[in-house]
This record gives sequence, structure tokens and C-alpha cells, in this order.
Amino acid sequence: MIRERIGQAALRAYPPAVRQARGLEMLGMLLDAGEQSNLALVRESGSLVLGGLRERRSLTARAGRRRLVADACCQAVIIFLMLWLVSALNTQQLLVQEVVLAGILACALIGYERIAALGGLAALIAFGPLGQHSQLVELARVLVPIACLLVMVRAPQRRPRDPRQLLWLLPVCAFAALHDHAYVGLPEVLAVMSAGGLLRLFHDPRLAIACSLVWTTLLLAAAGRPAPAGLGLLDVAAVAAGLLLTISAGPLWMMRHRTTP
Amino acid sequence: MELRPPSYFALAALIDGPLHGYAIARRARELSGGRVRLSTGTLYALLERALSESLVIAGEPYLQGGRQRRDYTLTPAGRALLADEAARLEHAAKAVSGRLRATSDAVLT
Repeated sequence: MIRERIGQAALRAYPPAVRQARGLEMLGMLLDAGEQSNLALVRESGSLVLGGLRERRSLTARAGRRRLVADACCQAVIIFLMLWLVSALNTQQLLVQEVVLAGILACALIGYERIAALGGLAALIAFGPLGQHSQLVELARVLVPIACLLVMVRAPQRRPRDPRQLLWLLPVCAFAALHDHAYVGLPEVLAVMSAGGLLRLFHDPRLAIACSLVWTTLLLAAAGRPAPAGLGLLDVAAVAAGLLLTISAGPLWMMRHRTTP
Repeated sequence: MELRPPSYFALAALIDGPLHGYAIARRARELSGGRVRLSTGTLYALLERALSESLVIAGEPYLQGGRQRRDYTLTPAGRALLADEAARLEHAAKAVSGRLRATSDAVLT
């Protein structure tokens, strides 16, 4: 029974479609091969995990590099919106702004990405530095979000609508409740997301690229602040953005050359 | 198209008739003299590729000893590819061993 559970856990590395088509058959072979010893079972389970990750990687590569970069921009928009909402909730700005941002984020999470992107652009004009008489440095920090929003309008992610994704609003609200000053906590949240992106890097570089786009924005935002307040964040953001971009460029480049496992 | 040893022996395992996954791994190990050990992840990646290139066909799943199995059969295209690869390896082996014999004779004399 335990052996079967180990096998089933290893099978989780495969995409759901493969699990559905061949999961039981693969589990059968794993149990056959792992009958000799515990070591054989561990070796077979490890091979299954690697096989599953390669399968996922191959599935991701089939989308093509342009689609992957567009998806990364769309994911960056969702992260931007999450951080913006946390920031709005913590700095207790206008209630209407919080409601509008929550609505836009909800649309993006469910899968109405084009509507969310248009809403995001409108919100930037209404509440962001675009709507005020801002200096150039203030405008520079919205360049990346605007670029990502435009990509999202033109090429939203191809995914089914899923209201369950609204559950992501819970950690956003919980985080906003835990931190009384948003600016202090945002890099930590982004660092957690970036760690997730790095863990997925072997089979899917999109989250890592999305995080690097958000880090770049934080870098631009910090650059506009007077030292020493922005200096620590500037350093962290610069290192993180550079590191993530460099690391995620590798798998993306390899996906161009090796589209089959 | 050249086949790597795991693919070559996995396809060769099916020459005598259809086999299920674990039986393919065992047969490939026998045929290769223990040099090729196909793990579950590797074998199914190979089978998936062979299926997409129509080198093998998959049968219907069935239960045996409480475990789900599915037999795989070599197609004529798979057999032809295997024959080409065997001929290529034979030619390469002959060329090299011929040269080795010739030079070892020369060294001895």
C-alpha cells in the first residue's frame, strides 16, 4: 500500500492528461520493477519524477517562445495587480480604488484577462502616476506594467476560465492584514514567488520571467526614491531581476532548440 | 535516423511479438547483455515518442495480477527502422574490426 502511494506521488510529476492516459499502466510497471528492493522502488520513483518533469517541459516547449514570453507578461500583470492591491489595502487609500483593483484582479484570476488588462490600464490612468502631474522617474516605474498590460490585451493566456483561482485573493488579503506598511513586505512576497518560479524553472520558465519583470519594476521604483530608503531595495531588486532573467533565459533558449524530449 | 541504445533495444524487444511495459524493460536488458536498463520514466518517454512516430502501436489496457497493462506491437515502419539501424551498426562494426585486425597483424609482423 505504501509502495503504491509512493508511486502515485511520483506520478504527480506528469501532466494530468498523461496521468489519465497511462498513469495506472506506469504505476503497474513501477510496482513490478520496484518489487526487488526498496532501493529499486526509490530509483524507479525518481526516474518517474524526472520523466514527468521532462514531459511537462516538452509540453511547455510546444507552446513556442513567443507564447511563453507573452504568458510570462500576463503572469507578471497578475503579480503586479496582487502587489498593487496589497499596497492599496495597507496604505488605506480610497475604498473605490481597492474595490476596483480587487475586481480587476478577480477578472484576471478567473481568466477574463483581456477585460482585466483594459481595466488595469484604466486604473493606471485613474489612480497611478499617469493620472497625475508626475515626474519622468515616476512614469518610468509604470513602463514595465504598461508593456505587460498591452501584451495581455493583445495575447492573453490560453487557459480555461476557472473561478477556483479566486482563492488566490485569500493570501493577498491575509498578507495585507498582516503588514501595516505595504512597501516593507512586497519584496518578501515577491521573493517567495520567485522561489516558486525557480523551482518550476526546469519545466516552465514563465513564472521566473514574470517575477524578473516585477523585480525590474521594483528596481525602477526604488531608483526614484532618495537614498538611503530606496538603496536596500534597489540592490535586492537589481540582483534578483538580473539573476532571474539570466537563469530563465537558459531554459527558454534550450526550449527553442530542443522541442522533443 | 539513428537510434540511441535505449530506443534500439526497446524496439528490438518487440521483434518477437507484443509485450507490456515491464516485459519490454526485461527483454531489452536481456538483449543488451545487461547494459541497457530501462526505468519506468525512460521507457514510457521512449514509447510515447515511438507511438507518435508510428513505430509501435498500443493495444487496449487489461488487468493482470491486479495491475493494469497494455501491450505494444512493432509496426512495419518500426521493423524497417530497426533493420536499417542493425545494418548500420553491423557495417560500422565490420569496418572498425576489419581495420583493427589489419593493423594488429601489421603490428605483430
